[in-house]
Amino acid sequence: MEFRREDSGTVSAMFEPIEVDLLRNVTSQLLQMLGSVDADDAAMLAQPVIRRLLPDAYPNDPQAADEFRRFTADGLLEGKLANATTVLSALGDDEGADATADYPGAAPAHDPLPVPIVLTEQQVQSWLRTLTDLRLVLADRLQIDPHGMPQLDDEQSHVVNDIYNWLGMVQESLVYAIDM
Amino acid sequence: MPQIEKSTRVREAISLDRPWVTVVWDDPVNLMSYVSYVFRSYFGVTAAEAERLMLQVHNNGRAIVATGDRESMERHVEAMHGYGLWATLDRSEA
Repeated sequence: MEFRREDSGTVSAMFEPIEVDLLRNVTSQLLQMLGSVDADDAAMLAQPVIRRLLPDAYPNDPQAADEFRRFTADGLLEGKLANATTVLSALGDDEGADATADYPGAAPAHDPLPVPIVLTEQQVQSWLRTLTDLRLVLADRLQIDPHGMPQLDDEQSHVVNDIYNWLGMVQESLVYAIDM
Repeated sequence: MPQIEKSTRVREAISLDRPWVTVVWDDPVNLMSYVSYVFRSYFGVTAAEAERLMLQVHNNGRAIVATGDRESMERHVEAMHGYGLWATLDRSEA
């Protein structure tokens, strides 16, 4: 998986089917999570992961921070939902139930071909933001410390950490493809 | 060009009497390349300036990326939140 800019202005990369499934899976979860956020629910907005997705704009003025969030949260959430939807649509339809079995270690029943992912400039913008949102959510789950190290060390977290790092690779590849 | 920008900033500071600032904070999640790209594409600064601001965020924990009236700074902060960056606004200390 490495994004390259085409002469037409689009950027493209070949994804392994397992990578497409993975990204589809985590993006669907993100959509679900974002869709469940009620911007009027103070308890929900107090959750650390939501506070990172919708940070306090006024760190020393809770009242102004609340007011800012009241005016911006709906729009920001809508944008994040739209971005994640754009990512999902670029990944194409779910290949079917057997796709979920193709995780590392599981022997694929057949040798699936890489999938071309082609993104317009506008789609790239959605991808960059959704990849960030995904990493912010996973970082919260992994309890990433200020030095970037996950504080959780169980088996499940290792898998999540691999996904977290892979999402960073995808994002960096996209940035280099459009920015160099 | 930087000369002109600097004098504009000074004038702004005088006329508005402690303007507002947009602050971007260091976070362990966002990639340096991405932060740099955001500064360049959103604020329209040069690659060198974007890199300087990004390194300031990374090394000092925060950087002031814009100065001006409160409304503009709220707009910038909202945009940064859209990019997933950790941004706040505050009164300028100057």
